[in-house]
Amino acid sequence: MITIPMIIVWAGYLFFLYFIIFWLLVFLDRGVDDPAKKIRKYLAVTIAIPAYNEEKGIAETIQSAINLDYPKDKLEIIIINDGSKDRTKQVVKEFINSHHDCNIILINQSNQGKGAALNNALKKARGEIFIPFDADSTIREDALQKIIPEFEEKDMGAVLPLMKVRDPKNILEKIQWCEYLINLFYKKLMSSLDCVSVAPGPFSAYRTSIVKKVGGFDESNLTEDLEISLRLQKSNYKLKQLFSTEVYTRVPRTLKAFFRQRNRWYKGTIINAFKYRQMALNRNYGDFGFIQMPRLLAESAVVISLYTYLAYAGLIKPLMLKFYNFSLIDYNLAIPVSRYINTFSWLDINFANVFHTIMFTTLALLLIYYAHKHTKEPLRKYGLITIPAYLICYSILASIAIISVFFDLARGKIQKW
Amino acid sequence: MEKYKNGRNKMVERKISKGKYIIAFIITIAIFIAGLLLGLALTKERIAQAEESTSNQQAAYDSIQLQYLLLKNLEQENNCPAAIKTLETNIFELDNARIKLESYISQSLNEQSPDFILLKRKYTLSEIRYWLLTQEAEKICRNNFVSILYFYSNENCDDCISQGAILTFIKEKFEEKVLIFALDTDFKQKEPLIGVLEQAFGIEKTPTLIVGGEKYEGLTSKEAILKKICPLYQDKPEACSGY
Repeated sequence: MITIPMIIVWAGYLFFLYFIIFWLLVFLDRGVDDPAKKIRKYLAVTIAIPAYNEEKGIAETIQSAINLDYPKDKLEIIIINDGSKDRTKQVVKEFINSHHDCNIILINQSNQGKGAALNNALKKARGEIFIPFDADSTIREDALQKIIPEFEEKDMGAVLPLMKVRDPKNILEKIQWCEYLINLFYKKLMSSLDCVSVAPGPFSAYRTSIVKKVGGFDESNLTEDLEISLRLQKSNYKLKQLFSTEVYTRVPRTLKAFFRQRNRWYKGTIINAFKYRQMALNRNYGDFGFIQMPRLLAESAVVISLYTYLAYAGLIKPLMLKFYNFSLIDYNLAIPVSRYINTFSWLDINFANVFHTIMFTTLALLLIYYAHKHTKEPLRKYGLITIPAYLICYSILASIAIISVFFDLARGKIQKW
Repeated sequence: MEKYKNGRNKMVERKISKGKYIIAFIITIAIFIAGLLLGLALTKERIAQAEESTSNQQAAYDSIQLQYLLLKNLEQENNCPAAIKTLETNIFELDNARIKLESYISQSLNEQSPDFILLKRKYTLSEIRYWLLTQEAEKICRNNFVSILYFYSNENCDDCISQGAILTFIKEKFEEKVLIFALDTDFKQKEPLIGVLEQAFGIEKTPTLIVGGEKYEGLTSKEAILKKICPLYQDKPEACSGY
């Protein structure tokens, strides 16, 4: 019988299926290859590193910035000490003292958050290109060689390197490693239709004049990187995902930190998508308005209705009932199991579930394969466990995070950052 | 080229990939329809299988009915255990087929399909027929087994699922010493006989068990069932130890 929950599940499946098929079509049509561009003009670059209590990693990050293959006189590094309570300030000062040949500036501000730190740096920045760089990330030496030529296009607002997970050790980090590769693959496809919705925090390069023109970073935003990307899209500037260079960033190592980060991300996504909702289905924004904004607006709602229903009706309720029933027969599991086995025929398989599972697993494996192939990562780089762990755990983890966001929004709880 | 309302100089040239939206839509719908068609083919296969098993059961019923007639006329009570064993096997198979049919129906998109209704009606009638035959058999082969009439519902009745689990347990423990006849009270619009039996036993809610002429309403625990059925045997089965 066709019931409302069934319609929810089908609508959810069709929603995801449609998006996956659409982007696979884009992939078949355009591919993801970057024609390598040679640098012709060395634009002045400012790298801005906001730091809050980063005494341990900050020196390595600055070192990674000065190691960049780029003329020293064209490179400016600004570290914004966002009211750190540890020795960040001293560490940076010592670093500056031992690197007089480099153009490194330290700005101290009271603790105002990342958006404010970036705006402070933006005021002082002399580079034509402005690159926020997270204190927990490292960059490949050729990054600027690859990024700067893209800015020869006048309307290029931002250029994004590949962002990979730095040194994943535990299973949670490995799941995120896989997630990042898939997201990158998606983003590259999005980029080919001018649909990039977020330039991630570490080492996304902006044209300074454009960022200033659209008003700098939003200081009170939960996800200021998403917000400025949407603002650039709204002003019809270009955002481009590169595959030719890489930045490595640390990801949450514990579930608690992971859920904290995702809560902020997903909440920021919902709030910002709503803020820029007038772009959705707006012809003036082309594909961005037709495929990307509707996804940003609807995705969390679809995830939440689909997963709460599946989790409740498909997992929690039947399991509780099963457990209760087992308790009634003194947990004598052999009886129901043997009856099931003795009467089993292939016709008893719940066909709808099997069909959905096979279809989505196939599509997911296809995506995982292409994502690894085109980001030039071996499938088994971090062991056999990574991909199965991603397939099984990721959607559960993400949906838990999204559900927590809805609970927060329902009671009006919005953190500062 | 289109001029933009926000009036800035020309930036990204916005395009709409109409072709891809349409193709993606067509593929999505095609996958969806392929799923539906496969589902329908499967349903057909299930119905065919269920039909086959009803015809087999019909033949089996005819055979066992004759067997009892012979027992009765030839007064061969010593053949009772074998006859009861056959009866039990048939009823057990019937009940398994019924459970399967019900799970097929619940997974099907069209629960009211005439094929399903006809099949379910056949199963229901078989259950009742076997139950009547059992009443007869009890007279010939005294007290070698106990029969339980079980009224259930598939709609909003979690207790019925639990009761089913308990009855499965009892059945496995007692084997041919217990015969269970399950009747779906939701089906009385389609099969009036259920209504007749409901009235005869005064059934008001589900699950309800009729054991040894007594009515047990609501979820009945396995202990309560054991307490009721064990005294009904002349030779207590092993499963009755302690009751």
